[in-house]
Amino acid sequence: MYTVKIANDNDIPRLIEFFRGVYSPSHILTEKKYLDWQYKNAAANIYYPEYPNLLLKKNDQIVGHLGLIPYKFKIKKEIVNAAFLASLIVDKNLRSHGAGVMLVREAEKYFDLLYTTGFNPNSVPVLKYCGWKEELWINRWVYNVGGKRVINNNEALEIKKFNESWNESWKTLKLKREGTIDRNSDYLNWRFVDNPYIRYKIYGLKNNKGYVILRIEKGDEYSACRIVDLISEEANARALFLSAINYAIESKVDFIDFFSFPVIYEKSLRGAGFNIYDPAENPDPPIFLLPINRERLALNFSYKQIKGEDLRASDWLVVKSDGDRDRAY
Amino acid sequence: MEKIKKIAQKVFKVSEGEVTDAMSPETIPDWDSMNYLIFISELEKEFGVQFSISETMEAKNLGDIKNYLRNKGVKF
Repeated sequence: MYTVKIANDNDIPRLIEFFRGVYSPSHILTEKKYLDWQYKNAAANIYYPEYPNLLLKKNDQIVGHLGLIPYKFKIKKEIVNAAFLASLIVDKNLRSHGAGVMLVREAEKYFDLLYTTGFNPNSVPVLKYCGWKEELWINRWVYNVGGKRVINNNEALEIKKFNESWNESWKTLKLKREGTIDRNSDYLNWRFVDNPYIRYKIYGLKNNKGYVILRIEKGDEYSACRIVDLISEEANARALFLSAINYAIESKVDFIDFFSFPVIYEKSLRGAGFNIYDPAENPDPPIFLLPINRERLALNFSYKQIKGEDLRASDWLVVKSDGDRDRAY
Repeated sequence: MEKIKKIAQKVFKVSEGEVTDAMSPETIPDWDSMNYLIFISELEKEFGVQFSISETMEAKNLGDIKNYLRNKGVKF
């Protein structure tokens, strides 16, 4: 007898055992602290105190899992319940038999919008069968740090926490974005400031009208400064990119990258010296640094909208910190 | 069997000779979640039957699916 249920505290020990078997004994999802932060304590967890995770059970045994990171999401003028599909895995004996479809269909009952990035090609038939929008590809902007000097930039300062004044700025900034996570201070503090695994560097514009969030990743072959989120008016974005460049130079990394969809801040990015990266021409550096992964050259993106005014692909704002593509390993 | 063969050939994009009781996700590249569920749905329409979730998930190959059909009274 197969059933799908929402995970609660009692399921977690067995869920961790399941992850040890299907992923690896040391996979990040085997840490309860991580599960609690990413799912249970997520700023927009509509199931709290349960986990926004769906379990496929055969009798009492867990045979499949769908991890959903919940967001308040802005679609045009309304805020809806959305979720990022962070992981989908089923027991190897059930693969290619529709178990993933069963889990995704169940998630569609609870959320108004579902989306995912950087997903495994094995998930494509599942998403396609469930009627998700075809794969789209997120641009990767790259800046080569080698030999560059710190640039004078006094428009942005380091910030430690997002406060109420940010919420005021966001009310105006979000008007220009049709499809985006509602980046209020609750979300930003949960996602970046209170992250138990990663120390982000955050710079905010002095006028409070934008921020950039940076993470250093040091691999064996390369080290990178990753712009995992950036919000501002186009006119102010250049100062934030300069903050990223200066931080990258001080941190002695090889390059900076910024994944964004669609093409936004193009003028500022080009003005600051970034270029769109073409993985077909040169697969280095790999998109996943830790662990190094040379097989996946670009970041894909797919979604299904269940409620709200229709979003076109160009209405979206998607960056690397959406979901779990910017996670600890 | 002819009807099952034709549906399998169309959905999994295989030749007549490749449709055997042993065909499964391991042997047929186009046997993914999507095509499998389409295949099940086509069989349900063709023979006027319904597969349970357990049957759908636990069929290891075409032979298992044929057995389920036989148990539902389908003759081929």
